[in-house]
Amino acid sequence: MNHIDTRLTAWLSGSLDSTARLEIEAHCAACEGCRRLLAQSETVWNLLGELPAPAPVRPAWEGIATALHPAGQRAGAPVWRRWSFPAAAAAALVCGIVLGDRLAGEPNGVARILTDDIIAGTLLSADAAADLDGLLTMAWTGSAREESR
Amino acid sequence: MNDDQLMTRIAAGEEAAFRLLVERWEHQVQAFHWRMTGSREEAEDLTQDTFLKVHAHAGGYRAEGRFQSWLFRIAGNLARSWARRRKIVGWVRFDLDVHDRAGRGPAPDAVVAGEQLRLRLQSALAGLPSRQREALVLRRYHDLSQRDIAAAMGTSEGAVESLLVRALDTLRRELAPEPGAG
Repeated sequence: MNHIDTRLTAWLSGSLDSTARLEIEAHCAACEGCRRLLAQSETVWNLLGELPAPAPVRPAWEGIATALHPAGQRAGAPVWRRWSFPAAAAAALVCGIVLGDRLAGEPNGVARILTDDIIAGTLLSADAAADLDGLLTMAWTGSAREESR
Repeated sequence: MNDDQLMTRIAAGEEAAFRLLVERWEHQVQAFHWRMTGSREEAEDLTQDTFLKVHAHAGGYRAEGRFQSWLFRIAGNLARSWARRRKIVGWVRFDLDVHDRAGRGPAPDAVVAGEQLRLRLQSALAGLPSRQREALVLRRYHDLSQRDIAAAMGTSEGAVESLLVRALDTLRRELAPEPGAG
């Protein structure tokens, strides 16, 4: 008995030739299991076609063009992915240095110099570096204020 | 100008040709990634990554009239990598737009039932193993032949048929009336 499994999706997508279709119809006329399988599969196939189309997202070209012509950045990955590693690495290093400095009682010493080097050495843009530098300055100011109390 | 001709020009560094290719295929690629990830934002990122890989590998493309398979091979690899990274194969959640849902006010029972059936199917589709879902999406929504799907997924036509049959079988069982239901 030649069941229809191997030609099921070809049947559903209408890509079978007329001879093959007739063979399947003849088989299903005599095979209750295949007849039910075919009917249920056709229902699923048609319902799949009724599922909502994906909502349009913004044109891809703008982001692609930006990635092709990076301004001092690595092309390819989306923005959050490009920034996540260097930013996290810089933040972790800075936190470690600040903590170490505070434990050593030198809030404005080696840490300040090292942090400047870290900022310069990462892939941070000028704006992002300025933001990070501002945050660090605030942290050191607070640290120095605590020291002076 | 066909896709192979565009790829030749892209390999030669013509950005205008690349833009034309992107605009020609972006909706299909975005739709594919949306159906694979269930997320508009992820689809946007993966679409961008897909075309950047097309650009990066344009020099290695062989112009044999099989651009669609080649494109979806790249898209499929990225979608599978994404799924592995997120480890969420099996629970992709679809963000449906409000306008995608049937009816905003009181709706006839038949419409509600149809909507519920579609939501169940959407959920079942999202729960398929990644490769089954990929094969089904390429076949049902992108009209790729079994041969092209096999090329895109790096497998045999027989394996593709098997993936499709198993996917349809799962969906049929998911949509079967619940025991005791009217």
